[in-house]
Amino acid sequence: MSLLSCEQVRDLAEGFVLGALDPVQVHDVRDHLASCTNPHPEMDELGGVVPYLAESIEPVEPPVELQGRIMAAIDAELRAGRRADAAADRLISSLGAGSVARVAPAAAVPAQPASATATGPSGAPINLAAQRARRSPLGWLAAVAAVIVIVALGAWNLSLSGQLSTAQQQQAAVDKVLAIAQEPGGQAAVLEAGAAGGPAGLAAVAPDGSFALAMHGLAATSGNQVYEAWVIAPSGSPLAIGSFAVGSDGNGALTAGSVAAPAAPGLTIGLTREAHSGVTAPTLPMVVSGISGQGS
Amino acid sequence: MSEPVARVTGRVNSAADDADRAVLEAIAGGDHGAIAVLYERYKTMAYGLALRITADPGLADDVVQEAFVGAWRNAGRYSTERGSVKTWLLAIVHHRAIDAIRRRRPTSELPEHEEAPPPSMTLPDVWSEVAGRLDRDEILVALASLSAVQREALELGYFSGLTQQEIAVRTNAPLGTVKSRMRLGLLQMRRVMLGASPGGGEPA
Repeated sequence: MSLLSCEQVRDLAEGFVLGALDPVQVHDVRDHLASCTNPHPEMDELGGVVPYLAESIEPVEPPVELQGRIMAAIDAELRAGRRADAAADRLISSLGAGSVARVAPAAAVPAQPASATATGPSGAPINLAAQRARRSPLGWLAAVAAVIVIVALGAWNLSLSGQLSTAQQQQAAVDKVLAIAQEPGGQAAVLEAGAAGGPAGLAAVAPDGSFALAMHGLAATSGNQVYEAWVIAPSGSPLAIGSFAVGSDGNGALTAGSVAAPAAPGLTIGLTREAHSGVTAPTLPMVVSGISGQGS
Repeated sequence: MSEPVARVTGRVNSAADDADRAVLEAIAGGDHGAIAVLYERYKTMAYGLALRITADPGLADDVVQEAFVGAWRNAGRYSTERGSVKTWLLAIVHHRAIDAIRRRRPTSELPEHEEAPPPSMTLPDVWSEVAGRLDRDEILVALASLSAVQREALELGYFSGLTQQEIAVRTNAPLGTVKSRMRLGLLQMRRVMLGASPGGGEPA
């Protein structure tokens, strides 16, 4: 539901297209335009001119070294992406999904529906090869997410309707992680155990403090036992995010709304197993952990 | 004003736009070196814009770096509906630069995190064909056709990082007057630019 009327949006149009509104106004106008069914020709009419204000500026030669800095920054992101890919590969292997849904290397993407397509909980095929081939920064994340859902499915026979809802819950948990990862400035991490075949999952944190986590393969908790999620900034102490119990299906999910950690690359996100909820320091070792990278 | 626009939108895109799109597709397809081509093509415009907004060479370096890394990261999301590649790229530079100076201001109202893409980035650039043929001199002629207060309002609105409310205080003018100057200034520029474009004033 838009907070602004069409008339109010028209009144803000020149400020909006110039970028001269405060962030709350920008958000409200954007919300309105996203949902309004009425035409807003004023946005085109006024906004079409704005790019040429940028072109009115006299070009200036930048420092020679700037190009090197840019290429180095891109290289650094690529290396981080490759590390994430490698983590995804290890994850896929450790979960034993290789035989059903092995992700094809990005370089070799001929359509191989039989070997590279799995079926998601809704029955829709998930083509992992295609997801991975599109090597956007988010590509690896989508691929891992699909694998986690698929592996969760593989653990049960989906023809039993009672288990379909479990799979759908897992899909919903993974979707939440992806949504947060895709927010501007969102960070995502693949959470793995040290040994192959252990629990694995995904977590994401956004600059607004929203956090989500989806896990598979966790040992069931009993009594007051919980898994506690932690976010650790590179120079900070562990921040407790929240806790959850795990049943016999091994799935776990957690969402939180106000994580006070900087949403910058290099956050450690991990899980510990605790005797009860409410602990303020993690009981090591971590069950799974991962380092965050750019999610969007 | 709607008629001239309707006439220009259907034209074929310029060769330069096609070449830019090809570069962006290459980047999106994994040719990471292609960002150097884009950089070479637009580095002086990008740096000039960043420097104009930040008035700080060090900060302008950071802004241009962030903008090109951002363009590399988001090349796959570019759509022609967002205007030419040049428009898209300069909108990223503008957004990053405004963000940088607003963060630097002690009374910044910005939230800690990065905002969504700038308004101009999400708007269709209905003029790409007209303005693709407009050189900087013609854009300056359009700017020069504005009254001094209109030009000031547009420049403060686009380059200063101030909000309309802050501009009203800065220029000691009522908010309604500032808004009106901006609106009339944009419309006047549009009129002059359409007139300056070859064919822009001809019947369909």
